[in-house]
Amino acid sequence: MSDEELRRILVEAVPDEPAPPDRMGQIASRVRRRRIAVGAGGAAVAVAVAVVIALPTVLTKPGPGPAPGDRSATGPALLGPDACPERLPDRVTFVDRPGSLVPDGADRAVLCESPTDEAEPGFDRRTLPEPRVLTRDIEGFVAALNALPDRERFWQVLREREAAKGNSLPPEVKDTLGEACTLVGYTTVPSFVLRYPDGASVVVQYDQNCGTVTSNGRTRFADPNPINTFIRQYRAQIVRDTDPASVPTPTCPAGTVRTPYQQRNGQVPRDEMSRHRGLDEPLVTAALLGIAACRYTVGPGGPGLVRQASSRDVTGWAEILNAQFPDQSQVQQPAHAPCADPGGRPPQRFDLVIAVDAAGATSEIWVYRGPCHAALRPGSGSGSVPSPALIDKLETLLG
Amino acid sequence: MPAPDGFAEFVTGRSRALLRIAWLLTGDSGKAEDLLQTALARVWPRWERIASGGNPEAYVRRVMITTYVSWWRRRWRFETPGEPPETVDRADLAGDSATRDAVRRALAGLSRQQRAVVVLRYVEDLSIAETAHVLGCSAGTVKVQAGRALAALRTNPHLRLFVTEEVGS
Repeated sequence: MSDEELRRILVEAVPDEPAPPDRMGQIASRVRRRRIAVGAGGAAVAVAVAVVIALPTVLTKPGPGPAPGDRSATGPALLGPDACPERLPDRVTFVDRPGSLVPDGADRAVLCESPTDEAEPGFDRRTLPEPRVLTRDIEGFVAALNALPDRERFWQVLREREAAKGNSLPPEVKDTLGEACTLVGYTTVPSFVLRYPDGASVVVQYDQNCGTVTSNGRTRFADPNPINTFIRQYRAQIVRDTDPASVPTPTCPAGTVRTPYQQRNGQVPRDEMSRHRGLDEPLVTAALLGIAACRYTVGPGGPGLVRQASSRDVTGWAEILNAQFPDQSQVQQPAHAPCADPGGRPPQRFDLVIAVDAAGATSEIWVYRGPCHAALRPGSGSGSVPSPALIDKLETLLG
Repeated sequence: MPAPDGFAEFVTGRSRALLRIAWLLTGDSGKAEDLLQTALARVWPRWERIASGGNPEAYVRRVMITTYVSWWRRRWRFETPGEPPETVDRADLAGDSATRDAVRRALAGLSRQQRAVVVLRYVEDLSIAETAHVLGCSAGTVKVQAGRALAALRTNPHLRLFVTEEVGS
């Protein structure tokens, strides 16, 4: 079936139904209802703000820096015991106002993930990633936040970037930046919480639909993405705090293993390295310290370990793994291995690679050797065709 | 409440094309109309700016897709994908009904993101980068989802049977 044939089949299948008698009237009614709902939401926010003001010790307080009254951030946010906002709005109004995004002088920065208004009332916070805390070079991170471009500067950057590609952006695009955004109803949203020596905290909310950050009643464009800036600093901090000698060489798991094939059992390959991996980075971002390879064949009693090897010699492994699992935003990815998709035949032979890095984080790479040939991406389980270099490396290590 | 200038004409002129996308996403005429109206109601307050951008249909289509995805994340979060309900469309010829049923069943086997990717890439003819932009994901994700969706559609017994009959007829 060609793409064109698929298109024809899909288009022809759509029923040709008459329009409802008063579609415009129905839309107008929805707009009215929406305005009423938005108005009620605004009232609720006003009440919440009043409550926040009445509870200054529990909530976000103004910190030092820009003028008083500038610290309303994205609206007062109730911080939980983990120092992260309990809940944040899923959308933030764009405010193009000059000045610093955040005050100087913070002594700690936390990268948080919080539920949004779109999340179910009984949202389980245990499903959220643990907050990542930065305690070193906070000035550098604050400077990076304050260097993020406002609309005027971002427009210049964007225009130059597109001009370099031979494209010319029409001037009206400028006014839509940060406002004409996708409307995906994300149930969780990242944010940064900066803490100041006087105990005050400032929340910087990231808007995934618009690619902006907002704090202190100001919005800036997340270009370069401050999440990546934070994570690189966070990684450097952990590596500095980790004694390589204290990181054990990985070994093959004792007892029965369960492959994450088809994800029927809810498992995805372990990926602790993701906590210090930027959104624009490949699998391995800190130097590797050790590797283990474990070979299994599946018998009547399940998978059995038939060969294993562990080593501190990790020469070449990072390059091979990063070629197999590049930054996910790259268009050029290793070929997809459909046999590892849900519904595929379970592997009869497979290798498990366990890698540990200088941050002490462990990630698992499952390599199906037959009948399906696939390398499963840690953290997701999606399969790609394993490279000859990866197979060769495994054969060399396992002997 | 008067509609902004040009909005009613747009609704009259473009709803049919937009409804086609909505049906392919939802597989249900009622949900499709709901999705279309929700998207149109969302763009109403900003219509002048959107229309002045020169391609309001692309904008509405994007809102429709993202609304659809957000519905999936909210209202339909715990829905178990499965076979769609059997429907009888008396106005259809038998052939049309069979096509529709085959497509509906085939699309029902895809995840909602895969369905959105299929509609954007193969019905609306958007590029990988444009599809990624609309869905708010990476180009790599679009490629992976498109590959899986196509593989599923091409091997879907309902659709394959239909294609074979089409080719042979």
